[in-house]
Amino acid sequence: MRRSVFVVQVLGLLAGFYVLCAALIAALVTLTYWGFDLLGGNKLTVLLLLVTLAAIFVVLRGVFVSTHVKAHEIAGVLVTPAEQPMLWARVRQLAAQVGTRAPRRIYLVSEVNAAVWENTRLLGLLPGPRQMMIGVPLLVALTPAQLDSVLCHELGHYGNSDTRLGGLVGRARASVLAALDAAARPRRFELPGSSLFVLLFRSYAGVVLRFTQPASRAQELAADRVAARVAGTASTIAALRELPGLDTAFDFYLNRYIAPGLKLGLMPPPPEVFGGFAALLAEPARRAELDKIRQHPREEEAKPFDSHPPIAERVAALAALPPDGSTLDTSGVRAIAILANPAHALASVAFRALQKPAAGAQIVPWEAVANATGLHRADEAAKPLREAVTRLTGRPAELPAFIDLINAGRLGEVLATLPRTEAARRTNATGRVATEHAKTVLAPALTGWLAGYLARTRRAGWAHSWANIGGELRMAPELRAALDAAVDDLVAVRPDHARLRALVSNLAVAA
Amino acid sequence: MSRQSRRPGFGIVGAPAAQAPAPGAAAGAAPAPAPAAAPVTLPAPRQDGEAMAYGFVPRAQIQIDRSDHDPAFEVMTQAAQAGDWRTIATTLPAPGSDPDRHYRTVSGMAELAAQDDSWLNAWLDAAPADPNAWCVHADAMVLLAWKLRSSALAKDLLPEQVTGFLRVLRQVPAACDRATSLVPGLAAPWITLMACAQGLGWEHDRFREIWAEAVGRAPQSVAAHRRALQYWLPRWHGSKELAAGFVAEMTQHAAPGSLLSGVRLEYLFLERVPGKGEQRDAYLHGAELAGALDAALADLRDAPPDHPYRAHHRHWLAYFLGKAGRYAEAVEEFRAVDGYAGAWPWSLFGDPAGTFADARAEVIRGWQARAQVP
Repeated sequence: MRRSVFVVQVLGLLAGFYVLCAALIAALVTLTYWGFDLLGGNKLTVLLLLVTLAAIFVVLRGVFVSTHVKAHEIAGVLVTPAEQPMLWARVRQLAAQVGTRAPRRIYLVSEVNAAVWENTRLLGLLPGPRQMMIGVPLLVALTPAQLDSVLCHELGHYGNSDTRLGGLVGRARASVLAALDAAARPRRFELPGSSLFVLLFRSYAGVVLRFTQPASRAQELAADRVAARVAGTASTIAALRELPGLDTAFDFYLNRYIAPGLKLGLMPPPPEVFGGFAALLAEPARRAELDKIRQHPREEEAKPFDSHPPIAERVAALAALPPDGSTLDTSGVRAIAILANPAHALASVAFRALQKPAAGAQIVPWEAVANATGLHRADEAAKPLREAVTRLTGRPAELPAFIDLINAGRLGEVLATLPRTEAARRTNATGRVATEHAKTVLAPALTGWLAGYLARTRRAGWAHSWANIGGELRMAPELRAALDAAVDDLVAVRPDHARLRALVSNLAVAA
Repeated sequence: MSRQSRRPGFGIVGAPAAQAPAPGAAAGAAPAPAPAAAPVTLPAPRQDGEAMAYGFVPRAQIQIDRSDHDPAFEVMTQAAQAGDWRTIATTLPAPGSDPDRHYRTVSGMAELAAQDDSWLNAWLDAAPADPNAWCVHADAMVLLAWKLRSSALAKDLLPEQVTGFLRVLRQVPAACDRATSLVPGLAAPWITLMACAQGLGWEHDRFREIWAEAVGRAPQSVAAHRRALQYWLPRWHGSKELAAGFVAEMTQHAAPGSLLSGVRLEYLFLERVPGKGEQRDAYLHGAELAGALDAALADLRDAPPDHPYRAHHRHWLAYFLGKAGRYAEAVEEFRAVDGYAGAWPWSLFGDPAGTFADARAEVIRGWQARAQVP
């Protein structure tokens, strides 16, 4: 009984949305018509006309147009049952176990995420074709059972034996949010008054979302229970705990390994874009960091109207379920094993995801990416010192010019010319403290300068490494020792430049 | 006078490890000025008149960079300002003199060198075989490292503050080794090395080796025990138990007149006195503090009149006797060290002179109230 009342209320709220929009437009149209009829075309009536047009535009866009996720908006690759028969069979089997329709389309995307959605009609009152996206980083990182649990959770949002309301509530929330998003999306030109209608949309959306929030939260927990039933409690808990760390790790991977190369017009071989992520995750040092995140998850930022309970709460709810005897898969097999021709699939998703940033990029091995980015970083590190040398000598910043300055007893001037650190500024450092802070700038700059010089004269290079973010600087051990000692001596509390002078003159002779 | 004004301005007392006081301030002859002391505007002190009526130094004239009057130190300060390292070299106690006297003077010079090292560099260049120059250099680097780090909480530190701190601190052992190689019997390098261990987080076993070297050379050294106490505090690398154990052992082997009982007062201040409320009052009037104060007073009677840490000892007595309500005894101690607030506990507070003057006024009022006016 109470359930049917709730259904009527949700339906009423959604219908009310239409009624509100229709009434608003009708009223404005009528007003405009009267306005022109009585006053003719003047500034006021033209403005009224524009406002009416804005209202119609916003409402139409929000309600009818953009709630449909268009295929070209998905940065992913559509995979057919013919291409990926095992994946499709698995998804259909999971849907059957959850007790809901299987998706009509499956996309592989480059996100640490999986989702099921429908292009519904009439604000979710009418269900539409169901679609699914699966993040390749999840395929690479999760065990098959963990991926099953993630997919079951998503399918579980669309109704299951636990909550028959889930489908309606989920659709309603998704479409209201999409309508709001579409209406509020900034455009190149804004019609007068459109922000007012967005405000109206937002407040109505707020009503709908608040009203359905408890049901939606319950729905999340129910979806977790469905996932646990199908994929096992142990794997479901493990997947939940894994996700925040993977998110961080994938961002880290893109920022530190992919982006620096792309900036220089270089990218690794396409299957390696995700293959690299798998390799990064397998690196013991990185594994340890992920373990740390798993054990101490960061406080999640609460998004407005996010109905997901905190992960700790979801894990606790799952842990309270009667034991199902399931265990974790420790075989090392990853969900990616379900793909046919994985290299091809990974490459096409990578191409699709990096379409724009990688346009025109040269495909080179990881080693070449590491060497080029290492050299670039060394040059960047050397920049402040080279600028200081140029400023003091008026000569192009070459190592001998710097050595001449030091020989002339002008290290103090170099230190004073280097950019002041934040710490020095904050503490208003003077005297010895300021000098030592400047040495903290000098040391990496000089190391970068020397390393860059050595790399250009083919005596050093950067090797790719998953353990060391910036790659490993490789050079003859005695050269490395001489370089470190020269820099250490120069930035010592009582500086000594003898070893630096010797090193640079040896290098010049050898070159 | 509110109790509020007597709490440390930057909370280093009883603070977590990352915020503990710089070790330079822990054992220096003239402790470093409180690192994060915000400029404090003091209200016109009401009690000053009373204090002055008894011949005390006015608040505005209290020196916060000295713990007592030391003519030799004044000479060396002027020499440092004039870049005259030779005067410093000849005035510094010779290696082999009393270890506490030696170390106290070395660390006083290190304070000056941490600000301007031109005279020290000239000295090291001209007399590289002078162990005292290396002692001052090593101790100055410890102070410099802490200035680079600043007294901010660990979580608020900028990466370059940590980099500079570690880089400078890591150069300390070599300078200590240099001094030791020149005069193996010196205690000062080992005392400085203990501060290094504290900053670089060396392990207990490694610290115990250094400690053994230090006390082997200076078994009753106040400076060495103050440094070791810092290391064993829970806020650094020890624990409640380790600090208590260290103090108990020290108390047991302390010779009468060594003034090691003052280090125990320091420990009580840092670890035992409750922060506020009734518990604090109960502690300050309780048996543990009373016993420690009686022992410290007896220690002072036995100590030689020229003990280098005599003034430090009396600053602690003045503070705690006053807090314990033993006003007549406290007045004696305030008289003995009056005019100087450059010592613990005062220099741990944001406004050392004000804290000193407030405590002194409280003691004078209590003393008068009991009609013990001479």
